[in-house]
Amino acid sequence: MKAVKLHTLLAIISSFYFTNVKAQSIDTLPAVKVSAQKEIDETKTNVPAQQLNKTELSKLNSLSVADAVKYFSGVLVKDYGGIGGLKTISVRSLGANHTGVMYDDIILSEVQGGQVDLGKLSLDNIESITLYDATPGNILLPARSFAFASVLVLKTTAPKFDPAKKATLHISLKVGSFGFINPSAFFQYHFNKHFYNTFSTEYQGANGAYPFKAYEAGAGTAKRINSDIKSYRAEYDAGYKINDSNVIKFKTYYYNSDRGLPSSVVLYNPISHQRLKDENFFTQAFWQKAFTASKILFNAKYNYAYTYYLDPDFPNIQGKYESKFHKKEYYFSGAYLYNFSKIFSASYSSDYFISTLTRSDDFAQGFAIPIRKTWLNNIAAKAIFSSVEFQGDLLYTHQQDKVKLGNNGKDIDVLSPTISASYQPSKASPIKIRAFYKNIFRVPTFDDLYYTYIGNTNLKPEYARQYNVGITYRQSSNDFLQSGLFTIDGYYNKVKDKILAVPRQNLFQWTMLNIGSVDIKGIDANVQFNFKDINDVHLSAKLAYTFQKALDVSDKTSSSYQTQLPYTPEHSGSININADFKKLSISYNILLSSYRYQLGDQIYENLVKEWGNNDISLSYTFCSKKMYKYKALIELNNVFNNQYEIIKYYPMPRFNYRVGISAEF
Amino acid sequence: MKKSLAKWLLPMIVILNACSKDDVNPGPPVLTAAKGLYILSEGSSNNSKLGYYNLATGVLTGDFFGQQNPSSSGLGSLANDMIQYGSKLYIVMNGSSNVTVLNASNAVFIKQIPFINGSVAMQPRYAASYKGNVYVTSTIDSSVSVIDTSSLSIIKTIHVGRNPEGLAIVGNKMYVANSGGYTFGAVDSTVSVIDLNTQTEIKRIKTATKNGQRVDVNSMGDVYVSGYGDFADAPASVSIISSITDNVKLEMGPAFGYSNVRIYDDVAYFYNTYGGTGTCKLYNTITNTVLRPEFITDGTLITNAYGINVDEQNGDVYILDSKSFPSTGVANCFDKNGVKKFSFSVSPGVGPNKVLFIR
Repeated sequence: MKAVKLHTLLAIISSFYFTNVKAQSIDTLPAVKVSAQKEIDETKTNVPAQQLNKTELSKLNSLSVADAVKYFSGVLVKDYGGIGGLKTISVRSLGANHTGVMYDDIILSEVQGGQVDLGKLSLDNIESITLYDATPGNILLPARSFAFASVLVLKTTAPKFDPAKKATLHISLKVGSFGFINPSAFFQYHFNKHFYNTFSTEYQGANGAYPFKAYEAGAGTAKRINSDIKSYRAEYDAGYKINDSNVIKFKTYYYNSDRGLPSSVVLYNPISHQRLKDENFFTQAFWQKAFTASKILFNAKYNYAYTYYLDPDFPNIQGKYESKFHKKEYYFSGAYLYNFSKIFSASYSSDYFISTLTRSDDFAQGFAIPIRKTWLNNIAAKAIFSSVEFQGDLLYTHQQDKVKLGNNGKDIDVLSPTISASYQPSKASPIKIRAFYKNIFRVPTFDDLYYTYIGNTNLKPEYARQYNVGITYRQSSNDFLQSGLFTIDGYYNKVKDKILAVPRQNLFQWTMLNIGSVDIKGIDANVQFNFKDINDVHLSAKLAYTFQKALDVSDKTSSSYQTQLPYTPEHSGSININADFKKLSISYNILLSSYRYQLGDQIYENLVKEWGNNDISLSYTFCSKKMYKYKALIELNNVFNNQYEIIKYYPMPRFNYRVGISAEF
Repeated sequence: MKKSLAKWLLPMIVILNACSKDDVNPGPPVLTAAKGLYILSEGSSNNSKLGYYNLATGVLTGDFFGQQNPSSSGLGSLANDMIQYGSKLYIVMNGSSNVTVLNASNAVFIKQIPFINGSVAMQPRYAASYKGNVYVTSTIDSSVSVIDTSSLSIIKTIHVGRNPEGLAIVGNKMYVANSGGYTFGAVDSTVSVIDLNTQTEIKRIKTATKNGQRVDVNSMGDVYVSGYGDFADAPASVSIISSITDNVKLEMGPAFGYSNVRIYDDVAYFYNTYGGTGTCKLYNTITNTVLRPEFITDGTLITNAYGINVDEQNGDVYILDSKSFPSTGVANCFDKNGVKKFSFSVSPGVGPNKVLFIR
């Protein structure tokens, strides 16, 4: 009875909730046991995995993927503040370039800067976010999924077929502080049980002029300027399910935005005029078919991205500086899995992709115009014994750059191994021990290699070697504490040949060199509790804690030798407490970080203070008839009105709110 | 009645103001030994520092400005230059886009002169003083601003070439290096000559030095201009202009690939911030001969010579090392023979670029 009640509640709160369960059969992700709330079980993978599902995401006061991943352990989000501010992820201090972001089966391409701005990825139609260290647990995946130190897997709302209801429409509107407005619509139509179409669209706008405590003594409150944003997203999905073991999917995505680029706060000088416009279009196809003992998976994608940057104050002859970059990628992937026995399976996947970068502005003269051809081949194997599970893969990367002007970057031919294992004394045992080793690298980006004056074509790959050992503990009972989940992982990472920008002739002219080296030791811990209902109140809680010692060991003669990496707190964590009472849901979300330094030198001038952020989310579901659902939402962010910074001189918004209403037909 | 009072008062105010001007001709300097050093560090963002080093005790107060002005939020962002004129210190704040005026004796804040023109931050670079005025180059709007040192406000703006940087004064003329450094592929290579009596640009001299940065003069009125080059084909170089003819007197050629020059007592110190071989070349500007290919004689290694200043009273040479920017810099004191006397970290100063001697 309790379980049914929980289900009902969840179904009401999240209109797309059951999709999750039904989507399993066409999933490329590990088809692990589906629990009531989870797509994956964090204790079942050999590598640490953390997940937030739609229901959890809706309670996190989060607009973008960047806001949500802050709640994971081991994660550091560099957040420059505001809705339009750059937000990049660094997992276990390896830097943003080492995390691959997978959006519906395929890794997002980011060949120019190498860092995906997670602030641009809206949560509106996201079904789940999963962060895997090393590699996602499944071995039937495109080879590119094995090519990162960690992978953030984003899945958009999957189809749910209901013969009685072929069409689903979901519309919502959120408004809030600083001129925020966010209408969105989702429409899904099932022609029959085989064929569906989904269309999802959204607009986000904000003037972003949030107040902050002025940095100049006695100046009171200042307002962030040039922090406005307008963005638009549209996604179209079509799927044809011949049967449970033969599925074809298409996806087309379009996004554009126009935003101000507020500089850091500069004392006594408020001027800021730089702008950024960008556009992203991709279309991708997916086919997976299962045979008796084997499976095939094919993916193809075309990606186009455009960025326009303008500095209207740049003091050159033209009176402005601008850049218009066009990025294209053609991507093909094939994978084959063979189950030799119930114990042993192996896979081979091969990806080939061509990435190009062109520039079309008045300053494009001398730009290298690189074309990169990458061929990835990966073999993976999995062996599942009664108490021990092994998984390993070996990735071979071949990369070749050709430029129209100047020197080509170096060819890359590298073998990268990953091995992982887990041990569970018995099926009934609540304890599981896991470990992995991965030696991977990130290739120099087009910016690293070819950026006018700064790029250096002699760059080598930047290596990240990871070692991880962890214990997971899961306990279920009929007591007050219905289920408890504990995970703790200790890790050691070593980054060598880290690509860093260093001054060349003066501070105006920098160049990229493979000179960095980092030693990272850390602990990630997660706890989840589900409590027994008391008077119809369901309580659950989640805690994440991260300890990191990430030392710069690049240069023995430097004063920053053996000091903590900039912006890396030793301690950070998050707490989520949820209470569901009938149609009302209340969440309290806390993010915490200890102090950090903005530079290697650990002096007061470089100190960035510890911070805490407290958000409250309230939602109420009106359920008039079976076919209609309405939901009202109030999000109170930074309720204690704390003024804090994640990046020095980029103040974060103080108290702000969002209210929303959504309806499903 | 009120009108006539104003009529009488006005000349009085003008006279009083004129008296308070720091326009006393310094005359030939009779220098006493320095008691201490002001060290300016540009910082990386909002952390410019003015430090004070007590030469008698050997103690550095790294954030002297902060100590003397506890209610201030700091100098601001990217202090690029400072000069002393009369009883005041003028600190040129490039990032914060102002000139901050301090009492030279105790670094107590007097006034901040904003360099913001409408919605444009002018981003001032270097300063020089002449007859009651302080002249400041501004890279964004390609001008030299004239600060009246009695009212401490900008009274005039002189248009010069693109992105002016260093400046120096000979007689009643000022020479300004127009870098054009913001136009990649088309940097400037001219020097603007300003008649300080009329405060107008009278000539633009074309030189072989591209992307001019620093300007200094010797006692014969030779104007040395050093520049970065164009970062592609043209390397750093130095040109000498005669202030008598206002023509280029000598292009120093490939042997003088230096982007920075300072002249003390007719000796030129050529150096590069980042890159280049050696730290500093010594050159006699009267005989036009190299005095020493490398100033440092005791093997002291400097990572990045970010500023060189000489104590003209005793000939001590201070080489400021920005180390691996943006970590803390180091100040090194050498005797005139290039042997290190002492050095100290300028912590929390990052990117130290200038020393002034407090006597």
